[in-house]
Amino acid sequence: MTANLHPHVAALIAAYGRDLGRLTPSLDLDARMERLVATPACEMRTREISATPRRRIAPAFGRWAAAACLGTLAVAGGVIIGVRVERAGLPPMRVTHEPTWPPPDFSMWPTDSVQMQIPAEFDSRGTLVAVDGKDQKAGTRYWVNIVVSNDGTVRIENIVPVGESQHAVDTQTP
Amino acid sequence: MKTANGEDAEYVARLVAGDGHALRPLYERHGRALLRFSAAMCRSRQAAEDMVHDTFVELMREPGNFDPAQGSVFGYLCGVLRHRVSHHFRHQKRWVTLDDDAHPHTESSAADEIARSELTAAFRRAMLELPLPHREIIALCDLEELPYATVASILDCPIGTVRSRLHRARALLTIRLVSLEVVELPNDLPLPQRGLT
Repeated sequence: MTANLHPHVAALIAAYGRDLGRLTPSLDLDARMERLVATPACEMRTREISATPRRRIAPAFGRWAAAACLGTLAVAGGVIIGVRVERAGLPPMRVTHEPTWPPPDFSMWPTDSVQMQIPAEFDSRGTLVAVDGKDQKAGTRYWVNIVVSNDGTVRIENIVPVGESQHAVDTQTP
Repeated sequence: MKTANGEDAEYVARLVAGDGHALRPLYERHGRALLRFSAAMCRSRQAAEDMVHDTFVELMREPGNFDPAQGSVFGYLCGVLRHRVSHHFRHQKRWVTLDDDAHPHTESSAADEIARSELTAAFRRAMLELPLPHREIIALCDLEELPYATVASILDCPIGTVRSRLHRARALLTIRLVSLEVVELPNDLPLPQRGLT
């Protein structure tokens, strides 16, 4: 049968076959076979006497079930402990209203403001324009008193000729 | 005069009738051959003997599964054994190394014995690295030297399949032996003659 094989491979197969041919059943196998022969036929159909035990699903399933049970117990224990700690602790803090805050004059819009005076003169077209205070007077010079609030509004308080009422600036807030 | 196959069939019929002692002659007649086949398939002697034991357990438990019209008792036992081995390989993940007594000593000189053992060990390793279908076809055709028809009945396939599978298995075995440097093939040899087609 090994005629078409490489001679070396064929020789190895033959040598290995001879080795296997010298193989004899062990005493253990003979003894097991004797026990098998002595087993009543009716018992054969009910007993598990296989040398290679079948794979059992139960151990693996049991491990998973045990792990799931442990996990459930751990979660349940945590919940119970948490509930007890919550019940045994201080009464829950009440939400108290602070009467002094916010103050009655509290406003979300700050009311600080800046007042300033801007020197101005009428130009040739009759328009009041701001001038540099250090410049020589070209005509009647006025103070334009303005108030700039920090909410962005600008208000002109009054316009007075220079020398008449330099500090007549109303500091009212808008 | 009864043939061996006829006697085997009678023993199986006695098993079907509940006579467990009919198992002993069957074991004495086929046990060694089954053990050789099993040892060629399994990595350990213990596993090989377990497979043989389970094969006879199967025969004893369900002797009615044997059909004389399908082939010989030995062929049936080989079929059961290869199913057990296949099942074993699918589910058994842990293997032990081959026992020393799986390689019986010869009467040659010590030096020859060492060289032969190394070669045999390398050959066995190459065999065990083959896929199961190729391993069993070499075990049945080349090691047990069973006729193709018997092998075809054991494997439940056509004879042509046996031939092609055997050719492929031998090629794979040769390649593995070359890679293990057990066999050296001349490079100028045509592939078909090297069994590598």
